[in-house]
Amino acid sequence: VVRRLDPKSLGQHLDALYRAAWALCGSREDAEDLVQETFARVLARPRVIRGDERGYLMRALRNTFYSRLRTASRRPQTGPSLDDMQAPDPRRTRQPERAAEVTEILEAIAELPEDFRMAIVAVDILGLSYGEAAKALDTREATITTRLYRARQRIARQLSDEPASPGGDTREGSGPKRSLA
Amino acid sequence: MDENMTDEQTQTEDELTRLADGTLPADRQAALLAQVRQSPELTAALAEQERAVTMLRALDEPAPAALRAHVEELTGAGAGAAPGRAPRWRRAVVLPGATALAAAVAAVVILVSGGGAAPTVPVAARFALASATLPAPAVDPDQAQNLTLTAAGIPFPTWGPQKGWTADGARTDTVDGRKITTVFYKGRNGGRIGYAITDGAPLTGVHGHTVTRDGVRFTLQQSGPARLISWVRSGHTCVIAGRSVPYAALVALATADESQESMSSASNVTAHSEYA
Repeated sequence: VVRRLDPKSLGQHLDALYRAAWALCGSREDAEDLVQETFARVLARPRVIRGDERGYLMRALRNTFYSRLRTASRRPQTGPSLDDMQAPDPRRTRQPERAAEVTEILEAIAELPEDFRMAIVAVDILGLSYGEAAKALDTREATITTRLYRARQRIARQLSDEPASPGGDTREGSGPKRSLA
Repeated sequence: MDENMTDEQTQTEDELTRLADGTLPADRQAALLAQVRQSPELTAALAEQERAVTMLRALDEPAPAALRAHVEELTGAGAGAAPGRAPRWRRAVVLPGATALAAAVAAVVILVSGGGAAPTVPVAARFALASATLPAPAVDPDQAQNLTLTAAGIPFPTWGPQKGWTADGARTDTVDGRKITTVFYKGRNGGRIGYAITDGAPLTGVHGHTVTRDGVRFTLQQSGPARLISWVRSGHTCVIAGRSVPYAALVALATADESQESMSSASNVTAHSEYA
């Protein structure tokens, strides 16, 4: 279904988009900037969308993320300034354990290879279906599934104190070795 | 992707991915679960997928107020005023706001006045977080994995030192003629959880993220500082709730309890016993 994007309906996606942006950037502050810029770009002119609003926003977020990366790579590199320092998050003092958990998970996602990161952000953070994620990321649904498997595997291993799976392959991104008869 | 992987391996991984988040078609679930139970490697691979899904889908970090205000300016609407579209996995079980509010109000009324409205999951969770009024049930001498206390025909699990949780009290409550039986467990590191079973039809007031383990759908909810999970077993609602206990640990315990009868592996339980 083709329809005009209603700016007033976009606010409902804010929390999910913020978490997605944090998982892409690996930092709360960069996530805020990325979301703000994404909304600004989307709302710069009237839009016509096909399908799911959140899928459209995922595509916009990804494009803005790449655009910011390109801009940053052209910028002269300097040492950290006072502005680069992360301000304490007041919410962390309310539920420190929870905040630490959220930060750890989102930063772990940010360290994944780009394709894996995009897949996990689209499906597990933004809640798109596999089909919607494939469309938003310009790839096949089967590819999304495979990337998701690898991405979740790495996240589970990174955030676990357990040793590697018993008998499992220790190569990065590898799956169960046993072939099913 | 590993070039040496066979199509069969790729298909298995794809299906494990979908099984972990509940999107694998029902007609494939039983067959895949049977294969998983026969293979330690597949069991471990599925456990990894499920751990990740539980962690990721329980994330509920809201956008900062300053960002919300800025987006509100951009969109020309109250960003926080519009009801948020829940992710796909939440949409199936989210109650309308008014219903959820009514359930919350009902919970308060019940706890204060002692009855009237039908119990809900949040009400059952309140009891699971309350104090014990009865001593801990004994271990069933014939089935050491169970306690002697049952609710709606469902035995409460022993869990015990191996899983880090030992029964240390119980209580029974009746709400609108429905009996809610709760057993409390003490963790070896000082944590505490309550396991409440309500007899009769499944409860309402279920809203939150869902994860599927061995074909059982668990709903994860937050209630103030407490986390709770609920699921339906033999037609009755079970709730496990605790403070400072991760969802993954709660789900692992519930999965272990569910799989006891089928003697299937619950390898990820020990992984979370450190939260006990």
